Amino acid sequence: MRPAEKVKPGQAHFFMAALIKLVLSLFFTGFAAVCLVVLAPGFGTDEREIDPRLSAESIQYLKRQGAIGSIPSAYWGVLQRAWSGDFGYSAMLNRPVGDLIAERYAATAAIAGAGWAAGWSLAFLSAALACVFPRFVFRETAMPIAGVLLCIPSALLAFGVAVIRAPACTAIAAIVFARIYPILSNLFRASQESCYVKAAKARGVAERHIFLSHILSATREQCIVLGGTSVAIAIGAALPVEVLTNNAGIGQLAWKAATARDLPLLVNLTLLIATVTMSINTGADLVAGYFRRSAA
Amino acid sequence: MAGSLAGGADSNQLRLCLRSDPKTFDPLLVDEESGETIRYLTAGVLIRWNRSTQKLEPELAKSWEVAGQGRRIRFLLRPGLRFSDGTPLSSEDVAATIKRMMDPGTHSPIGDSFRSGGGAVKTIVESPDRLSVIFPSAVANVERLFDQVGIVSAKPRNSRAVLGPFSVAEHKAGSYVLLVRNPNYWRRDAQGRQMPYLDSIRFDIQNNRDLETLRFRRGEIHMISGLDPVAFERLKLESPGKALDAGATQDSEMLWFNQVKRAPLPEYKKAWFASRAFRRAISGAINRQDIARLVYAGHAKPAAGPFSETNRLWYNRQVQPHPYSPGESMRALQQAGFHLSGKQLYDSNGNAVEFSVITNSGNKSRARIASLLQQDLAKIGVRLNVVPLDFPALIERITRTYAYEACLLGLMNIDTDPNGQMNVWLSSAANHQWNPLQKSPETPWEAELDRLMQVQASALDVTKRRTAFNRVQEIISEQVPFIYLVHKNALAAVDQRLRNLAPVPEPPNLLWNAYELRFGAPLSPGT
Amino acid sequence: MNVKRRFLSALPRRLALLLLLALLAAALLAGRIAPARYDEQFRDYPNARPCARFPLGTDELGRDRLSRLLYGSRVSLLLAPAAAALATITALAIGLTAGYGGCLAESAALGFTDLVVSIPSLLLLFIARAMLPLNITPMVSVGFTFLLLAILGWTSGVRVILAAVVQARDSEYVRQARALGCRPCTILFRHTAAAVRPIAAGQFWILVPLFLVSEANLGMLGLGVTEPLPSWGNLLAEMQTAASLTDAPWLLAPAVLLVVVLLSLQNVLQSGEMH
Repeated sequence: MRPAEKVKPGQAHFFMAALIKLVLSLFFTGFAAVCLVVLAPGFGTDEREIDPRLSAESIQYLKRQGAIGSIPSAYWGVLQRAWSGDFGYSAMLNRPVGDLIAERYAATAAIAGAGWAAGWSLAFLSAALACVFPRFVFRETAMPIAGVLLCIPSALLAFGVAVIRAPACTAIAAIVFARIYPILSNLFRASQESCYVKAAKARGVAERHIFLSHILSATREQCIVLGGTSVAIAIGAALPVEVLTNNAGIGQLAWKAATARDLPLLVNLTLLIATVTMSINTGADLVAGYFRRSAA
Repeated sequence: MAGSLAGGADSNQLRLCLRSDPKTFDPLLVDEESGETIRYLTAGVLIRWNRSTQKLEPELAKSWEVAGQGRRIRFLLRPGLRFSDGTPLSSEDVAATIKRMMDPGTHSPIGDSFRSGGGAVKTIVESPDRLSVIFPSAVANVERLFDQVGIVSAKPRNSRAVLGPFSVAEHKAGSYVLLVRNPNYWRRDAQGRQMPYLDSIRFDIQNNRDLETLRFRRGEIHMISGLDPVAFERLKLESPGKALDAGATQDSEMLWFNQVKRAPLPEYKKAWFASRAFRRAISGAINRQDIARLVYAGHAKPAAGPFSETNRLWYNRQVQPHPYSPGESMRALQQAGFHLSGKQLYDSNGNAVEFSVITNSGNKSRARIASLLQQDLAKIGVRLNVVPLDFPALIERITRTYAYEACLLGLMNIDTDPNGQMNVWLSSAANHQWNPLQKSPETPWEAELDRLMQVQASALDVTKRRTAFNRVQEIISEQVPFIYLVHKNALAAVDQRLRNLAPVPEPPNLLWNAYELRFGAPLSPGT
Repeated sequence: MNVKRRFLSALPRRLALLLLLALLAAALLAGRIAPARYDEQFRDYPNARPCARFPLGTDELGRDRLSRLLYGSRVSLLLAPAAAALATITALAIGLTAGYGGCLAESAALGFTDLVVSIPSLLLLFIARAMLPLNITPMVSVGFTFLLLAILGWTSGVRVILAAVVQARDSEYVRQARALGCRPCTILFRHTAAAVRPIAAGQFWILVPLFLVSEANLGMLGLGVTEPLPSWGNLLAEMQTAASLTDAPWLLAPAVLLVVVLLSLQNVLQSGEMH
């Protein structure tokens, strides 16, 4: 019991620190997003301004609609409203931001989640098999496949997925695989080159056993952290995939919000995506830290 | 009954795509393409502009008369009209619609089209089926404007109650819009059957044109409007009967130079752009035939002015596109003080003639046009830098900061009457793109444009209007404030089982007579 | 026998190196070996199929695809690896600083990384474009673009590099080295760098094609390689009219070339690590 009691306060402190860091990061991310939207060229403009049917008064009205006060006051307004459950109104889509996000987050979570899981599983399995069976075809084929996938623009990949009527998450899986496999493969291979693995091999220990007992444990922390960072890759990949495959999700919404400079929508989406990615990264850091401390 | 025409509910659903979600279903506030399409199919109007015959036809109004020198229009409504929710239509509904449309707080783009001068628009309800609308000053061709005024119920039981052939049943943002047939639609066919024949129309929200084409080829959708020329050509090769070219649209691709005096540009460049000789020489150095051939696979017509020849009433046949002649352009430039040194053109002060053209990113056709312009202008020693910008950044430059030199853009003519272009040609207007919001006309020819546009906007006599607008087109061709390039054709793909199709170049192209569309046996290519 | 084995084991690397050098030479000599100028429009031959005159056909404006590919290689073969290297070095620097700089440095580095990952970078690119004058030469535009890509592209590797740095920092051999009196520089550049090299190499390898593809997308924002200058990025983007790929498989040529370059690069990098 005593060692456990000793660890608990440390862990609580660690969690608290991570939570504070997360909140601070989110606060600054939101502020940065507001700054970027307001400073981006074309903020406050409206496509309707070049509609020849509109009178000068209506165009003036549109210009007034797009104007905001200072950046801090705009951000404070967003935060205040968000605190009371009002996420603002999207001028671009003429709908409340809360409704838009509520309608769409599940679609993105589904395709990004499935794509991430599939891409990771494939990358991990390929890298592991290439490691366990060094003469097997995996080593020679997986890297070129990753290379080919990296060379194909995401939009084209998404188009290809639509052509073969595969689920949209397939494109995300392909993107995640291409971005993860080279690193995983290099990690495992470097670990294979270490002295103790060579020694184990020389002793005749089975490759499978070497992989599970030595290589995997040596690269565990990097793998966990890579898992966390690849969530951002999966979410980022959801953007072109959703736009191309007509999947009404957050990615499609984010693209529209950025191109239309829709301040409330973009800031709330940025905060939502940041919360997800930062939470997962923080979680991965905590788990990796836990293993590190355990090993120490 | 309609179902029996196609043999089942599912098979009687027309499926196609919209490029984006409609921003609103309020017919008075619609201001973008998707919304316009939905409004056309759902909203009932008093008078309809027949896109095929280019004539006005009675719709909800049985008849109308224009009186008081164009200041008053009197409508007689059809008897027994009902909204889709069963509420009867009365002149009170029409009056309420017009009152709301003209309320400055509504900011209705259609309302803006009606504002001919100061003062309020009045409506007088004379009886449940008669009313008059009185304008403060004469509005030319005022009845034509009512084609866009969707009448809404003053006291609806259902907020989506409409008078058009279809009503909105479902909308899943980013996914689809489902329209179902309005059981109370007023129109019947010659056999007395109630229209529309289709049970429903499903619009999938699909931004990607390649995917839209793919879905058509798979038979998942029945039609595409605004087909890409490359896809059109491929489809024509595969199945000629499915590819339809409805002729030149009223949309024009054009280039203009920034002539705003306070623009943050070097003075010598402002002097070039203000020079009629320079603009005319640039226009003459552009090979419009090549643009039509290479960018639009021949499905476009070289443009001379704001309207194409398919606008039978307003197109001025005397005004022809500037002929392609780099030699002639070079001579004109030399007369204007420019000179060629090596492969580079210089002005009289020794400044190399180089300018940038901004255009909206993501438009493949426009990017190709820009590449062709680069090579065409290089022949007269002009260096052109193409800068694609996303739309808000482009709008900021052309409407606020004026930090640009030239702009390549398209003008969509939703209204085929010159009245719809008042805010383009009047020098005081915000959309007088080359030099907007002038306090008083800065050049004599702009003063003349102002005068002629006012004449055509207030004259009731069509001949007088045509004379004025013909002169407007001539001045535009002489002074070249806009260098018109091409009018692209309306290309479409259609399922051969669809009957009664009558494609027109005007929006909503294939759907303008949606009430009479129906499915039948596939037609053979020859029929 | 031993010499023969060594020669054979080094053969793939030598071939890869030779291929990369040959491509580089072809790119640099594009002006001499290309059949036409990259911007010359043969308007009577748009969308031509491969033939003796146009070995890879022509694009929709009649420009020779082979010439554009050769000229495009100049930009892409030099700038994309340079930007990828800059991004990888930035990630390494931040990872090493965070790993050895104590708790505060680690928190600050990770917080900054999260911030850069989370902000909508598209807007940053819009702002960057607005800061540039409209009349810039294509080379300035493309140089600026790759710099932007490097500035925004370093984030994905930081956490993994940091994890490797921390693992190396806390490892037995580094502790022993420290106990034996090794200087911090030696520990950092000799022992820790060896631990992060595989990740950095993987990261670099991924970033090269990613930057090439991103460069084409940035062209849509007025950044990137502006017309009429070709790059592998905008040649790859032509594949996006994917419906035509079955009719015109030669459009895949830039992608095939890029894959060959990538695999050669991987081979060279891998062999370099093993050495």
